[in-house]
Amino acid sequence: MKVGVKNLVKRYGETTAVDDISFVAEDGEFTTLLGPSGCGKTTTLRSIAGLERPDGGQITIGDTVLSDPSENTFIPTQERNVGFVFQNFNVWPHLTVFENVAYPLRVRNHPEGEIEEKVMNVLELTGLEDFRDRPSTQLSGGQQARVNVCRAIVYEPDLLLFDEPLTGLDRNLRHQMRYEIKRIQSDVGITTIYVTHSQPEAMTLADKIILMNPDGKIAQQGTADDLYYKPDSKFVFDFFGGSVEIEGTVANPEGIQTDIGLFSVDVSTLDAGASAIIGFRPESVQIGKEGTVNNWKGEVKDINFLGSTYEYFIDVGDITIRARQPRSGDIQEGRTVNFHIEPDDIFTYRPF
Amino acid sequence: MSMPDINNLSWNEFKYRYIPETRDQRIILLSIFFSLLIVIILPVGSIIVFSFADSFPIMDGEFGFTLRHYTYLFENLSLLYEITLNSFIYAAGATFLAITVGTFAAFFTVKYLNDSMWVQLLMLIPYGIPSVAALVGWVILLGDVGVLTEAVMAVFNLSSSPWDLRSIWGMIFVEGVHTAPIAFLLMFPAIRNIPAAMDEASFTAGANRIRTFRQIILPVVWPSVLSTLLFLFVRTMATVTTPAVLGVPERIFTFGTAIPYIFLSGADLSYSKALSFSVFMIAITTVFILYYLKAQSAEDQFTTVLGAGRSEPRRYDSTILKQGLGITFVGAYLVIAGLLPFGAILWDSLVPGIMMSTDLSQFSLQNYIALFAGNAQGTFAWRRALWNTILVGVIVPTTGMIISMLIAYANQIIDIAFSKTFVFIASVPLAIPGIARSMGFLSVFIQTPIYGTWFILFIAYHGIALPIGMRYSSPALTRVGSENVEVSLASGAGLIRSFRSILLPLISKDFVAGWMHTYVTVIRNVSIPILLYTAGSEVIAIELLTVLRAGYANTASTMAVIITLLSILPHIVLQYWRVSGGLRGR
Repeated sequence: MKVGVKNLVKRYGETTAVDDISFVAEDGEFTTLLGPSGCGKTTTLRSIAGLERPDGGQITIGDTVLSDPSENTFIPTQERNVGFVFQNFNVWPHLTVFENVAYPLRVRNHPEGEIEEKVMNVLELTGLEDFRDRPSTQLSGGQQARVNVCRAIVYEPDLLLFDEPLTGLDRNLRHQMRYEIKRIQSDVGITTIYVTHSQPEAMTLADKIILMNPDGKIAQQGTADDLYYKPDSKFVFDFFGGSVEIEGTVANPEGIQTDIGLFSVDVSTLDAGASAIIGFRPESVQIGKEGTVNNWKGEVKDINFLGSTYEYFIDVGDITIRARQPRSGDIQEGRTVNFHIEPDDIFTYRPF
Repeated sequence: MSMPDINNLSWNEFKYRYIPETRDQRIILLSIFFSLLIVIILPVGSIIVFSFADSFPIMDGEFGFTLRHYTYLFENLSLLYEITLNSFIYAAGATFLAITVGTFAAFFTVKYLNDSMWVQLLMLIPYGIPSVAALVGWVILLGDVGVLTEAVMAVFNLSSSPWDLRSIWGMIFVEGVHTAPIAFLLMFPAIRNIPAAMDEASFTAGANRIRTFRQIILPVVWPSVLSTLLFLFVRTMATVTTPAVLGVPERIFTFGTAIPYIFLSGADLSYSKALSFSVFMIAITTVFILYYLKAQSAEDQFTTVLGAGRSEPRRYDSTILKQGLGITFVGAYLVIAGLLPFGAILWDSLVPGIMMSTDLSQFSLQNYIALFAGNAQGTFAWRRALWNTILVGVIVPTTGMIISMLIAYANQIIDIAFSKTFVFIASVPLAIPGIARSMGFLSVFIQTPIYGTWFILFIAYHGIALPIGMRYSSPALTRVGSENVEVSLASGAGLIRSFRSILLPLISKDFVAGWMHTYVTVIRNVSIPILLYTAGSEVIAIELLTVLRAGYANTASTMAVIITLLSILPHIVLQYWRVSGGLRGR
């Protein structure tokens, strides 16, 4: 079902945790709420679940208004038919795997036969069918995470909410579970909103990313490609890895003049003569290539091995440029190299 | 007011408020409100209000207000002074004895015995003997014709007893010895949490252990000593059992005995005077409780500096001799506080007749048979008392724990309206002596049909049960956290279903521990039923006190063995859980 959040506001005393945010999660879409700690993403998720009472705005699911303080509307959590997967697994130790997953169905007074069928379906979906009678205390971290997901989807909720569910897992398991969550979500086709502070997690999972800034506002929303390659603010650029930032002055219409020369870039949105910052990603620096514009020469000062790629630090005047690409025998420490950056790969911002 | 920095807060630090309009929330709110109204608000309020009523019980629903009962108290200043002075001497002496024994035992256990779980357990076991039962033992041992008294007289060829158990010193000895486990319980973590660096810095500076104890350890644990002192002092000041048995026959009255044996006794019986005296007593205990809270906050500040639980204490080189000394100290305490009094009542209960005999062939269960057959001397209501005790002993801890779990649930998980006030009200009985609370219930219910039934005891015992229950509920819910309930809510369950199906099973051990603590406390309690029982609503503790005061030693010791057996097993299980680390934070 389609979920709508319109002008949502949540305050704690005088602190505004969520400040007038709006977004839509389309039916069956996997939406990620991404942002640094304290940006209000969890508050937003909890407000959608009914675990927080918003101070303003409207939350809808399908045609139903879940909360709207101006109309004094607030549907309690237990009546919203949402699935919530929490950060801590919260797999109840006094119940077996089967009973943990069956709990929401028992609460809803489903007949025993139906409970058996539905629980086994989701256990099979997550590969836990052989663990049905195991006490939940005897499960590994990954199995507990799966039980957590099973319990949230077994009653076929209208909306599935995840609050950083992979934080407690080790790196390998986290990677594995990411794909598993994505697979389960696409299998069952539930509209999903997933909170994380991990940019790679958001990029792997999401159809749509909503990036929130520390002020509790939405910085940018769109696909992973949009946010990575077309950041519309320095915050978004930095959050998605950042890289080199160089200060300069807008030299209309050519581009931005910096200490190491002119960067040809679209400056149509900037005022001539104004201060500006340019930024680009390390993988946009093409060593050994040459284009019509944005060609430089610099000395390789340092090389780091990153596994599948290498990171090169190239000094141009007083500025160090970070580049990332596969190892090339021609690039050695101390050598002078040429490099090129496509104008489309350069972002421009006004300084704060 | 500074606002929280939400960037540095975990979500659990925020308080959530679910929806006050839900049916479950209203049910929880009302259940807690009416429970607290009946168990605490009405009795406490009525003591104060009716102490100003010109007459009590109220006739025809009309009464005027007067200060007459207070002026009476202060006109008889010598009586008030005597009761207060006796109470202070008794409480101070018993507290001093208890804290000395408790602190030394705690020090030995931490520094020389490596926190030995068994030593801790041995120190705590004697508290499982109800003081009313232990008193029977002490009367048998140290009374005017006590076994030990006569033995000492014979050995030293004395013509009279070298001590007088029925005196304020006897009261101090008995109460002090039996309060020592509580002092140990409170002092142990204080000494345990002193980081090794404290001792080591002192040793490095050239001080020896005695100097280190005097100038470092003692000042560092002083806030804990002070708060323990105040806690024990307030607790002892208004105890009923020991002063009733050892003080009242010699007309030594204290706060615990003044109401039942002066104001509500004899021809001058006056509820109004008992009520105004209760208010006077509450005022005094409140002052000490406020000092106690202040001392506790100083203790907390020290804990912050010391970093409780973060580092190991410094253990001292422990030779066999030093360990032996420590074990001897604890062993001697166990013998004095546990084995001697219990051995005496057990022995006496197995020997028919007045004289203690060492002839094993005379041992029989005759006293027990007589008691259960209804033929024992001095009691007509034993079986009823046993039934009533079991009834309240089983039901009160159960309902008490449920109500306190609900209060903690309302406050810590749901953040229901007024929940902080509820938590405060549930702790109010701590500041009010049991005998005064009993007076409160008497004043509320004396003119209702439930007076004289076991039901009034059932309600009144909740004044004991709720503060104990809160001690177990609050840390348990902190441990479980709110997310488990949120998962349940998101699964579609309401607040009550979540409480029943998820929360209670998750905190079942805390529930059982709190249940046992309440049970052990309720079945031995004298201060509540002493003013509320009538024919039909007797309990064992009261029957035992009555036969003991009347001098039926055999019956008393038989009852004492039974009440000890009822109490000791859950007490030992509870203390085992505690010392083995299963009940952190209580």
